[in-house]
Amino acid sequence: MTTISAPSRWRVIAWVVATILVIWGIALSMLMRQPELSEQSQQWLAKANQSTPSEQESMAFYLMLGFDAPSEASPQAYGEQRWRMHVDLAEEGMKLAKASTWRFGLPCYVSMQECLPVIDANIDRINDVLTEKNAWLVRLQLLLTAEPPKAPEQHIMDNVPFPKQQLSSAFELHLASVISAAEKDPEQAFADLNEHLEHLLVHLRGTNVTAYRSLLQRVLTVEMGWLVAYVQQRPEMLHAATTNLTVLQQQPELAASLEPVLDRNFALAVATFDRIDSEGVSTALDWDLTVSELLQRIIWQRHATVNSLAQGYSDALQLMSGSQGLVPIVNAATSWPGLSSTWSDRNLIGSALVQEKLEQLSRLLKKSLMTEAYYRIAAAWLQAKGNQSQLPEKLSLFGIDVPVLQRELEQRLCLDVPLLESLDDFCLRLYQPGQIPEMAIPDDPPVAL
Amino acid sequence: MKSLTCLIAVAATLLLTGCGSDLLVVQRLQSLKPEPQQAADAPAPDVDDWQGQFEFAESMLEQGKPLAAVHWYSKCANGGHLPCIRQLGYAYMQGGAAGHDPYLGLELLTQSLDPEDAGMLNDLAWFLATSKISALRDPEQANEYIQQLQAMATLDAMSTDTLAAVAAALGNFAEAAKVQQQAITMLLKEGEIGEDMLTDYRKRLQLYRNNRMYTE
Repeated sequence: MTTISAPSRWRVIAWVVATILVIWGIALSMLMRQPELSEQSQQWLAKANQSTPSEQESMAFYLMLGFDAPSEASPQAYGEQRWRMHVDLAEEGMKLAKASTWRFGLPCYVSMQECLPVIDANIDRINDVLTEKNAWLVRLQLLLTAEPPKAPEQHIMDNVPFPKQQLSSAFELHLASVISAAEKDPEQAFADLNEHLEHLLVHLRGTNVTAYRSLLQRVLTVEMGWLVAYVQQRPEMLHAATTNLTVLQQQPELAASLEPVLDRNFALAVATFDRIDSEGVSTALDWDLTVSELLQRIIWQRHATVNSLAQGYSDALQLMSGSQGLVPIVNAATSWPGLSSTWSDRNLIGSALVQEKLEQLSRLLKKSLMTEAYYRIAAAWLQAKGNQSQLPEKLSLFGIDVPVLQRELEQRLCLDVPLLESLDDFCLRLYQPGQIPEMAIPDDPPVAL
Repeated sequence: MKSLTCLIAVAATLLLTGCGSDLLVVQRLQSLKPEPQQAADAPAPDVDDWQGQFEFAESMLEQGKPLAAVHWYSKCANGGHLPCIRQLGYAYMQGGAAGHDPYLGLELLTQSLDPEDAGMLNDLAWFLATSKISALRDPEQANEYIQQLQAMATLDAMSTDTLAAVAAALGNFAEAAKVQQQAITMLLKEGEIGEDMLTDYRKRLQLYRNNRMYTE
């Protein structure tokens, strides 16, 4: 049996320990190595560093945020107060104005097709509501004629109440006012609606507040859908509508870039990354699990996260420019939330954050594509004065010619784009009860005689 | 392989440095990783093959792809294929992948009605008697459908429940309550029923006893 002398034994142990330490040293240095920032990331970061909202922009932002102020309060002051409460802890003791009670008493949702037959019988009641609630129309006008609201890019709005319901109700009230005005002076009513739509488009294209943008997208589709249903029901209004709605001829495409919203989202994401670096991921993201500093160093790569986010956002902007066609937008909107290729075990925290951002981005893409298509097809139908034979075979969307399809049975006019969420994603409903064609053909083929 | 090595190194480091609880974080983050994308669908049927399109739509539905299913139902429905019109009608009634358009849905179902299909007669009678949208309700027509069904087959618990709803929609609440009681008895006899269903039947009975109709 061979024995090892004491000095040799210690030397062997020292070598083994040194080797293990070297291996761990290499492994840890590899794990903690940061990739470089990409050129794209640097561009996005440069944009994020430039942002400083002007006073005017803040005014519109506060007007939007304080839209639900009680009647005696100024919406702008109310919105500013609300925002300060959120961002400035020193203002914590400020007393917020009491929330307004919200009830209009319109006979039904005037934007819905089902409401149209009810309107004639209830026009007096609608007029009473309009007189009583006129202040909300004034408030809406004030907001829409201001600059598009731009939120500061340092603070998220998750905890700030957004007056979604009140804004939606005010837009609904505005439609009621168009209906009422059209009874007296259709030309003037549609000229006013034209101005309203122009302002709405400016806000939709310019705001960087995702929630407000999303609300305006819904409002735009509701208003266009209502307009189509209204002139279908009241063909005598068609002429006044199509001649006064010049916005449809001048701006037949919505073309609302995602850039303002994405710029702000990127700046906010970077602010979150800063907090992860300084306060640790558990505090910065408010996780219920504490992550040790060592683990954070191993599974958090800020640069890789910024690169991945910048890549996703740049891809989204590129896609929405239409340069690659519509199918890649649909594919991106459906496949991005499930992209496993963006995951890296060395950047698990960043991967999870990017995953969440991609899910939001996918929703933005879907909503934007559907709104663009809906506005385009409704504008085209109105321009063709409801005469489908006058419609072109293709319509331009993001500069791409898209075939127009008619689903005769369901009375839908659609753009031929792969579906995202529903059969009516890219369709205008023209359905009139009792008028669907008799499509049925014998299920058995005729027998040859 | 590289990522596995990485994970092993991370896990070993954490264990050796006494940060075993961090493994929970790693596990949670790993679980957020999306599954790889599913394989593409089978080749689509020909443009004029309505029956093929119907079968394709049915298979999409079985695979849990309602959007693809309604897309194909719509195609063959616009070709005039009755089973497709029927399915599309149901889809518009229910909303979801087809969008909610009960007026159109009801019209499609009426157009594609097979008078010998007991299930359809029952469904149509139910819709027309219980729709939340008053403009869609047509108790007289609902009564005709349920009478047709009664003449054709013996009513089971479900169609007796419909019969009671129709009676209530016509304002015959005493009769509705009596029929609903029969429906409950039949339901209990039929067995293998869920507690929720029984509760619903009983709630409707209470409504009829209070001279109120049921809508949904």
